[in-house]
Amino acid sequence: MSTRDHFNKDTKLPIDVKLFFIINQSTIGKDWVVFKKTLLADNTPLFSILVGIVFFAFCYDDNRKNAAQIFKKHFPHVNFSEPTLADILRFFLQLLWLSTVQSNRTKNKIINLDFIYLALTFIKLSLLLPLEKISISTDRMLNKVEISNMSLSNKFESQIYLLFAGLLAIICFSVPFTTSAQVTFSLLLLFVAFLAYSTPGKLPRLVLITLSVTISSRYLWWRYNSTLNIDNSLDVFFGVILIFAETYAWIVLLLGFFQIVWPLERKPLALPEDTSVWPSVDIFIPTYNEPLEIVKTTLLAALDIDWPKNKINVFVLDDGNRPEFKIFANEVGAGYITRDNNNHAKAGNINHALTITQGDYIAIFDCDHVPVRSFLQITMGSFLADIKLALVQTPHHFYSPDPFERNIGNFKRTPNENNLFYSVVQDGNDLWNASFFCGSCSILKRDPLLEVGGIATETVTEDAHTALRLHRKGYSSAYLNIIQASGLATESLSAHVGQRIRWARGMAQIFRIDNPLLGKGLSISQRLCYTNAMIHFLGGIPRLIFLLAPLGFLLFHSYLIYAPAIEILLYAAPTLIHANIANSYIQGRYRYSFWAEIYETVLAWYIARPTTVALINPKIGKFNVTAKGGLIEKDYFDLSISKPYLTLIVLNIIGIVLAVYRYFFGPDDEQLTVILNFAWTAYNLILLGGAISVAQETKQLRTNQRIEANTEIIIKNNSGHLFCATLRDFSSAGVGLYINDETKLEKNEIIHILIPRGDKEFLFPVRITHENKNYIGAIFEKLTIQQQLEFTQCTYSRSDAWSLWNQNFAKDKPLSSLISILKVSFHGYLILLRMLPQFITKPFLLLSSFISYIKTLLPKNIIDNTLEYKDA
Amino acid sequence: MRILCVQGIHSSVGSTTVVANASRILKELGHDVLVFDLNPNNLLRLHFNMDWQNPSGWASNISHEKPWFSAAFECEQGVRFIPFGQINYKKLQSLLINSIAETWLPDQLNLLNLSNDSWVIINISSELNELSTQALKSSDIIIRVIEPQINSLSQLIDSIQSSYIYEDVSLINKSFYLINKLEPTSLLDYDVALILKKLLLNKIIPVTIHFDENIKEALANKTTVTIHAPKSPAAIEFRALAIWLINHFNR
Amino acid sequence: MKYEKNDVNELYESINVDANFYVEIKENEYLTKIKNKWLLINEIVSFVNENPSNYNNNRTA
Repeated sequence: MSTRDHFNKDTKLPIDVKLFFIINQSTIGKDWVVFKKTLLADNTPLFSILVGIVFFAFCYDDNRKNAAQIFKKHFPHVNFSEPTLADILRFFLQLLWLSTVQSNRTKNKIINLDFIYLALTFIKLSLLLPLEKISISTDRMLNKVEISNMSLSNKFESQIYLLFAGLLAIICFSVPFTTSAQVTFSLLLLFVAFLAYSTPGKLPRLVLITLSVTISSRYLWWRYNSTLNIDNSLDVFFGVILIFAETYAWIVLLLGFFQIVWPLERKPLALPEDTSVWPSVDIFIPTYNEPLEIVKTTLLAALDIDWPKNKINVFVLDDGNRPEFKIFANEVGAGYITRDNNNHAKAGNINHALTITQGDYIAIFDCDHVPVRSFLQITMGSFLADIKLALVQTPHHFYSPDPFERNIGNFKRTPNENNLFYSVVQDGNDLWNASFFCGSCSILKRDPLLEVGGIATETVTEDAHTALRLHRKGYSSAYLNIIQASGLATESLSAHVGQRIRWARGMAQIFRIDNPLLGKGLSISQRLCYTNAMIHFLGGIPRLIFLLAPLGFLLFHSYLIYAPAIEILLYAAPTLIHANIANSYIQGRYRYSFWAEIYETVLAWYIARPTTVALINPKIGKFNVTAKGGLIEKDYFDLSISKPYLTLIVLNIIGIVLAVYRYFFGPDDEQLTVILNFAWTAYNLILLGGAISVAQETKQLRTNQRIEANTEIIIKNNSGHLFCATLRDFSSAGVGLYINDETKLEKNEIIHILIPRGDKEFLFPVRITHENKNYIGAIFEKLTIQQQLEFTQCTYSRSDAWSLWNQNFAKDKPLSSLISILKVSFHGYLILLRMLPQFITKPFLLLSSFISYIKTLLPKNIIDNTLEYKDA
Repeated sequence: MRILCVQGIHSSVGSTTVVANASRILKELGHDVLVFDLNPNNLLRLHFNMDWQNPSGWASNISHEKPWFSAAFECEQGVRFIPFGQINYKKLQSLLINSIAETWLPDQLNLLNLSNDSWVIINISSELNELSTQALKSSDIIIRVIEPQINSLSQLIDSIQSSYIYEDVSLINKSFYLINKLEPTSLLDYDVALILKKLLLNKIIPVTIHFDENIKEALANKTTVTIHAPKSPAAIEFRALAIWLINHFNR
Repeated sequence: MKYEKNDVNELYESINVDANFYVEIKENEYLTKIKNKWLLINEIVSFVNENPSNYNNNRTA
């Protein structure tokens, strides 16, 4: 109904509109109708209409038309149509907020803070700009130098430098400071770190790493030399345990810095123009118990890889010996390999296939990792350029949320756990020629692989072990950080934990039976990279120690760190701050601050035992397959997996209670120590709350994960009419479409959708299963094999399908990251509270709903997008 | 004055529809557009809601010895157009022989004295005659409309090989090809379209018009699809074509 | 110059590498398939290959 209709039927005019006509202001009357329609509901009480008229009357002539929009935009949380008293409060608070803090958005300013802001910006820029210049010019200089060759080219000279630097470092670590000197030292270093943190480039990166290494080594030196109380046996007992965990953390920190000091960021190399000289490649898709539906897409995509037809052979390696797999493989023209035993699981499966096929190179994809069509042309160039190259690895990417992402609900908003390893660590390893095999999305050269006896079968992480053996034989590896395949993440937290237990056990096994620090053939840097990859998984016990350490004092009144509290603070705080700053700078877009702590806390208990066992006896333990693509039918709390966290929470809460007791009833000179331990316990509780939050399994109803998309497509209905739509999501079973038109489609109607890829288009019949306003869901209507292949081509195996996925993450902001951790943790405790008896939970739940009510009253930041709007 | 000439590779490929839609969109984008129908079938006018019974047009005016530009019309959307006019075969022959001099078209266009940034879109028949050759020669850009069908492909190769259009090198340079009436359910159509794209490479306009019931319905309503179904893929594709044209001249 | 931006071009652009290295193998295979499938297309395309002419000469080329 347009406004014009309103005025033609004079009899039906509402009273308030008539008013404007009576005072002979029909244009204002029209604007008022629009205003009312946008902002207020139909059955608005007279009172709020009056309020509306008052607001409306205050608008200037030229603003009147958009008045409703402006109100809606600036008061998003105020309900104008049925206002309550709280809405009035919200309105005025927001008005106050807009006119003061957000005053630059509105015209009338009450307080002008611009000059302070300008002065601060001026100081910041005058400090940072010269640094930026220096950083850029060093970058340019450093880019000319081949870092990896530097130490080899002039051995003697570099050794002198190393010696000199080492001596300086030892002086730095060991010189004792008075308290005031330590304060000055810490503040100075923090200031430098702040400047470096705000400057982009490789030099600031090195500066931050150096600072963090210096300060943490100083801390450890201090810990060993002056904080162990040998006189008290209890203190020694707890003290040694803690210092062990701290030493472990220090080693991992240092090795981690070493590993990612300079990510190589390799680019793909071109293949020769003549395709007849391209080598032959076998593609292996090992499977054991996964459903055909999952393997199908991978197989079709593998067959669609752009590589000369006579030089590529795709094989399904079915360890489940299932006839339907054989039929499907034959139908699409892929090879099918099975065997009469399942010895050594995936590794044995691949080794068996190696004896049957002949390709020069072997590309391996887990059965749910769908490759894109450019996979081989992107990766194979490196092999032809370097004869010693035996392995090219590409990232593992997941199009479905992992249990952390799904249960916390931050999919695509926060970089996931995987991201750090594949975006930073592997690229860092690559510099030291130590990037290793991850079991899938990678290519191995046949001859070197056979030379080391195929895929290693002695451990449960056959991939890393195989790479280690290749490196020992003097072969090199490469890592290309370009997502060229995508798969399913583990379906539940317990499956995820199971997978990590396997990795942890396997890495511990390798560390024990084929220790990278010992044996022949590796360079020092390779040894260090491998060692870090392995001892990283030994972090379970140290993490548990940190989670329990404050109890040593709070429960047993033992001085774990035998030093005055103020001194502990002065040594420990800078160490933590510098490590966090450096990691935030390096890991930036790939791992947000504090998230690593949550991930480690979740795994700590579960990997602690298997790694210890594997270190003692590497032969114990079996291989478990990671289940994928399953359903979680309803939300539930995984109680069995969270038992260790619950125990730790109870212990830490006892710690909190004791801390309060000791603060008020203990000796006065202990108060600062109590506060320190209280803070530590509180932090531990935050981490544990996060772990609880992850254990709340969110339901997942589709077997086929829907993947978000945004492609313009065309729909053809039965009458022959075409209309435009947007492909919003897809899976191998169906699609979700957004219709831009007001065209109506009936449920169960069969239509055709036309999806473009480059200068081609593909047509698919779909049946509409549900519709909701402009969104329709549809499932495929009996696709032929050819159509399934085509659908894969224009969705999963588009070469750019995933390449931009990880580039959307903003740079890490440690503070906002801390806030999101706090929220996650708070949510975790809410989950726990709901499970307690009602008389306990009621006050807490009331408190929580009170807090969220207060939150609705608070003013909101209005993001001004008028500029964007104008451009569009 | 930007002169665009649209010619079908053979009859019934939809070149008149392309002219009507392109002109409407250009007008919609704020350009000054004059459409000149040099196709004796006199169908263009129907896209602009002209009375079916109205026989007037430039050719019939000339044969009745009236000034031809008195047959200029303007549609509701502001596109000015000059229909061919209803005229029988005999009169057409004598008109072509007696009244159309060798530089008739460029002379008439000069007489119109249009501004530099206004568009003249000329609709010509797929066959070559005195009118269409003059139009091809005096235009700044030629769009040759092809259907992704075997007969179009055959005709295209013939026309290129026999140099029917290409004896003049300047014609080669200013010719571009537009694929029209691509039937989404036809695999063969896609195959031919792919062959055409591989053959013509950058001579092909990167917009393909799909075969759409809406286009037929538009003519049945005496209008263009841009007005009949403005959100339909065809309307959007014609819009893309118009933008390609504008960019072509701005290059 | 490509007819349109396709997925490969987009990928190579996102990693700052020249996309001309890419060989559209599946597409070329498909073109052969078209020729084998339709008799007249085969005849016409073979003729074109034997008699190269100015099919795609362009002033911008």
